[in-house]
Amino acid sequence: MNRIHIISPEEADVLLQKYYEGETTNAEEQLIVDFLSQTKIPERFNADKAIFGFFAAKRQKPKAIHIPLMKWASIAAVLFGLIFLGKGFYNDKQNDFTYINGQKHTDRQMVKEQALASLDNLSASCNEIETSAENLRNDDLAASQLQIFCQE
Amino acid sequence: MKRNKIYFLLLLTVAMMASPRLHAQKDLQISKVFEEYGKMKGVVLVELTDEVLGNYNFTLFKSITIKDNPSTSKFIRECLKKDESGAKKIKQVVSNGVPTSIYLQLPRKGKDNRLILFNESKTPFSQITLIYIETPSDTEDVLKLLLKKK
Repeated sequence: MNRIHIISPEEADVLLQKYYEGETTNAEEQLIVDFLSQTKIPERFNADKAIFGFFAAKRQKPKAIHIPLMKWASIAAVLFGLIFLGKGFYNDKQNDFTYINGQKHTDRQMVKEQALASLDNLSASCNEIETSAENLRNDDLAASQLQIFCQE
Repeated sequence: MKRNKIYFLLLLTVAMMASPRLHAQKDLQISKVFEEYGKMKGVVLVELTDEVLGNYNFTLFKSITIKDNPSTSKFIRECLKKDESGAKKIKQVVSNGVPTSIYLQLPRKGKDNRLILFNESKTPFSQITLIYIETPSDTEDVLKLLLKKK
């Protein structure tokens, strides 16, 4: 196991001076980093710490986020559901409509009137059937039809 | 494992929520009639949801009235014939061997009763009316209301 060698603040001063002059080796830079990464160091190193902290953050590798497949599937399903429901609610508002000769009308009163008109068509045909049936039961009609044969 | 179950339930819930009532008639052949002829000339298509018509609440009311286009009646009858399976025929009027009125009561869907009403009249002009209804009300009461003399 590698033991980390921590330099003294005085040594750090010297190495930092060299660092800013661009004369440090990789090993020396690591010594500076190790020194500055300590929690208790003199306040005069705060500026250096900030600079190295910034660079340290830049050097960090991005963490790969692993989301299980099922989680992805459920996220997708929820999104799909929300879109679908949203669309459904939107459509609900647009759902009362009538097309007359291919032209769309959404006025609710007009739609209702057309609905009632289509029901009237059915009831009218029912009345027609009932009227025909009543006519068949009508004795006068039968008599008038028999009359035709009598005339011959 | 427990988490997987939760995700599965979530998935199932969303899937169930994503099946809107408005597509309830899509499983029927007559939906093709609404789709194919609904926007044509000489046709009146109506779609109404959650409306009260004459004291009865209709969850869904869909109708199509086709004027002067008797050729469509053959297609509609074919659709009705397919939808008849599993349905109860409430009424049928046959004229010259051709059904001119057909009323079908379909199996319930949820709490709603479902009805298909078809009529073809030739006087004074050719007119076909096809109605699809979903209602929580009693079918017999609804029919009495719909077909009462006006």
